[in-house]
Amino acid sequence: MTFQNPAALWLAFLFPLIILLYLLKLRREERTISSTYLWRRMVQDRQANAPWQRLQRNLLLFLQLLFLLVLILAIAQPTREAQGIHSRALVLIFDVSASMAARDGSPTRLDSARQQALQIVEDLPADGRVTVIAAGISPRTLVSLSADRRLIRQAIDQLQVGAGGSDMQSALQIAAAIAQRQADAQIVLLSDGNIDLPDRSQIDPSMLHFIPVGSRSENQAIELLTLQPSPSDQTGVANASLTIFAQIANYSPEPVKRRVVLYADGAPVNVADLEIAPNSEESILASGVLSSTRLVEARLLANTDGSPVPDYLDLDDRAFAVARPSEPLSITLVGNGNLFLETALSLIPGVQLTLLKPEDVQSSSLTGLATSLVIFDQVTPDPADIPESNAQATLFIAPLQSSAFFTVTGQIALPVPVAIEPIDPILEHVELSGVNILDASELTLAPWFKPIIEDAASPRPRPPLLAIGENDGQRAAVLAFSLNRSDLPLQVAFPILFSQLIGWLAPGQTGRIPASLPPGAPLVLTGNLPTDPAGGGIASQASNDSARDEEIPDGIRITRPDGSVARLDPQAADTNHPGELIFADTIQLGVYQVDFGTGDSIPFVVNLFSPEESRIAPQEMAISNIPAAAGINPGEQAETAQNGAAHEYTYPQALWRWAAGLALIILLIEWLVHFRSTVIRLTQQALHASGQALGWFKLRRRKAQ
Amino acid sequence: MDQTDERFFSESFLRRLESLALQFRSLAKSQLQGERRSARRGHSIEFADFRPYTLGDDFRRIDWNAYARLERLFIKLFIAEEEITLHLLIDNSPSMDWGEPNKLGYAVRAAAAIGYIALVGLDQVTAAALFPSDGRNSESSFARFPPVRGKRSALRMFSFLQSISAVSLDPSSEPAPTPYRGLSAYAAAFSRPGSIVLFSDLMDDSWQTAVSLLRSRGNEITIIQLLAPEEISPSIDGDYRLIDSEGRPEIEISADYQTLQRYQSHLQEWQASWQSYCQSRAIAYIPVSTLLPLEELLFAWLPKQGVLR
Repeated sequence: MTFQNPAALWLAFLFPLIILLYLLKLRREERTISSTYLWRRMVQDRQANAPWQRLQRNLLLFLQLLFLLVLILAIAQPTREAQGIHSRALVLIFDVSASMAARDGSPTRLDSARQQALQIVEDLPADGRVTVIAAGISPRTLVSLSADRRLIRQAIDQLQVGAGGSDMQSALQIAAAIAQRQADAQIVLLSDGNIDLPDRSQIDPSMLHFIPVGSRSENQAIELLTLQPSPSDQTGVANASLTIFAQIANYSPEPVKRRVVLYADGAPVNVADLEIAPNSEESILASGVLSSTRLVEARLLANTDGSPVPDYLDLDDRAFAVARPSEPLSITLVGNGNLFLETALSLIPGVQLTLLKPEDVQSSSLTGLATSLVIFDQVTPDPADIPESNAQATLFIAPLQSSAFFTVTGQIALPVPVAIEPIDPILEHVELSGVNILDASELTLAPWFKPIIEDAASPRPRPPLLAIGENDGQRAAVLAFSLNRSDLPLQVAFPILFSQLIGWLAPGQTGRIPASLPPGAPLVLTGNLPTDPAGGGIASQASNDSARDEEIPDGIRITRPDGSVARLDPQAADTNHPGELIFADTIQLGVYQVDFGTGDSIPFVVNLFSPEESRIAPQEMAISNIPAAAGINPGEQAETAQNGAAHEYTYPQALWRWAAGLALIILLIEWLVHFRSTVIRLTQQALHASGQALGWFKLRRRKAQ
Repeated sequence: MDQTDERFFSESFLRRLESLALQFRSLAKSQLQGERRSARRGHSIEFADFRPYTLGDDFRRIDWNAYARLERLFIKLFIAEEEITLHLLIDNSPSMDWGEPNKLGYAVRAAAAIGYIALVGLDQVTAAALFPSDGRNSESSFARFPPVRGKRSALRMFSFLQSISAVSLDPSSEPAPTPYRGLSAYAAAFSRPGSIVLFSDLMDDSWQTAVSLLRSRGNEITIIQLLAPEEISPSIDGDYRLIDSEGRPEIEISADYQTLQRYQSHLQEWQASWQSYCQSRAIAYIPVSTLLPLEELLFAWLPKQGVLR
């Protein structure tokens, strides 16, 4: 027990004062009476009771001293080292990264964290409010400053391990924001330490508590699984075989033997027994897989001899891969020949380029062409020649005349290209600062165009140099200057820009869906969301409602690995990004199926593939100012955790209320003892009166009978 | 009547007192033929009985008429008409000068009233304070009102009674002043037994022997024990050092409910022991609280006890 206000103990000088007063009081009040004759007779009888009399007198002194003692203790504000986190505004941050699913808790690390958190909540003061934050890929606040214990318990019970990492920084920012508004706030971080934590943290270290969970580091993980065409078949010839590549890592401090089984479309195609040294990787290469294979799965199995494997994390023992052959992309280039452009296009894999002279262009031939993209290089086609199909995009390069999409209003000499939005995905990795342009067409674009590059030398509104746009699902782009009158083709930026531009203009049906996503990464479905195999449907805001409803009654269905189905309604697309649908619920690991309503679903996979999470050894927090819990080094920590003992903090629990209450009780007893004769008399009088009343009632009753 | 006497008793009260008369339970020896009836047969004009003549009887009292009829000698007996002296003894120890109403004051008023009744009844009345004013037991300084008779002496008796004050006893004096010594000194001062009315709180162990002494001399004794309300039911609470007004050792008590209860039970025991003591000796014992109105004592209590009628 310690005292917050030890100076109050000086009040102990009152003890001798009380005793002195008592000694003074022992000089009894003197009273002259007629004769002590009668009293003496009584006192002789009382002699037998003398010790008790003395005791009674001393009892009062004792009670008064006790009262003073307890009162002084109360003023000194005693505190007890109580275990637990004591706060009126508690913020619980649960690490729900994948590593928290390791089975070295009770049974998992998250369960251990859960139990400790529930214990902390249990020990909170009655008016304590609790905020529960699940720090997953993106932090979620499950309960905000609630005093409802049931709600808090429910939220904690329903916590689930996410498949990815944890954004502890954002979680801490949220927690800090909450803590700043509250007095006596404490932030409790329940984690195995496998988290990114920035050194700079605006949180007062004294209010941050780290409760580590987890003890073991034994884990093996599939770090990589790919399904690719065999190297010998890079030419892209159909019917070529595929190669599976898998990489297994061992994070245990001991070498392990693991059996890896590869399945192709459900059938085992390869079994390999690997012996992996501590903290190293082994890989398997399985070639000759049928090219028709769509899905490959790799599984880590038990040891060859059947002995148990020290592998505490299951999430990374399974991985999937889908075959995603590059689709042929048909591009028609209408122009008078442009070596730069043709070279750049031919470098894009899968591109089938058709060259047309402007004079060869006839509307019928263009419309009928099975081509995904038509490029008009310094050619302005007749309006009839511009493709109208949603499946066909258009790129204009240095248009000479106005068209339905834009109006050519003049010429700009020596424009200076600058990106309007530096983070535009089309301009990713594209450096424009060194690009010189001789001249460009001054264009007035249709309102649905979005300028990407503009001329910084012109006064506002600056004329666009590159613009992209989507009209009724049909994509188009305009480049205002000729490649021949610029040094852009000589820059590194040129092939990158065109690759990304073409990728945006003609993404292809499956090209929009990546073969693999990291957990939690959003799946963005863009462009002409096809509703039938012919691709004639339109899935955007402006399309005819009745027609679409008949054609796509279910919208886009995404089947999660656990079999649940998410339905994306094209109508629900963000109005700022028409035709763009986002599916963000990719926290489950496994194979997702995207069904555009055609019945033929396109799979993509989500794998953990995260060394940070697979390395499950509990680690210290990255910042040093967080007070570590009971166990300092991982070994001790591990032992403590294994013994099931909770990591405990101590806080000074104020006891003065108890002391003050005790003092009050003692005071009451002292008062009763002091006035005991009066109290007894009153009691006897009351008893007497009640007895009389009872007798009277009995008499009445007897008379009545 | 001077001012003091006026305050002492009102005229109407005195008139009411005249309706009362003393009653003696036993005949007291008397040399004089008083007006008081006595149970003792003596020289009087009122015939009481005959008894056979025995040698030595007065010839004059032989009933010759009876001899003529019966030829036997009989002596005529007459009811003795005696004069009895009423002794009003007031305990003026310091313990009596205490209480509210004051015990001594009450004793003086009660003694005056009874003395007046006796004077009206043509009895001889004498009064005395038991302790001399110097606190010593010496016959010389004994405060005594000489025997008087007749209503005329009432005022003198009143003023004497009023002059009685409490003395401060000196316990160190040799012999120590005790009721016994006081009473025996008083008893020595008169030879004839009479009716003694003693006003005291009896708060001394020597009272019983003193009373016994008086009783043994043939006196008719009435004890009026005066206790102040505060003595009957003390209203103290807490720790006290009780100082004796008569110089007895102090007593420390912690007065709480039980203590007071015990005190009262002791008081009752004590009074009961006096009661039985007096009963066995034909002594009238009348415990009185000074809260009791004097009229009630005189007109109700004392007639009931056979002291007055």
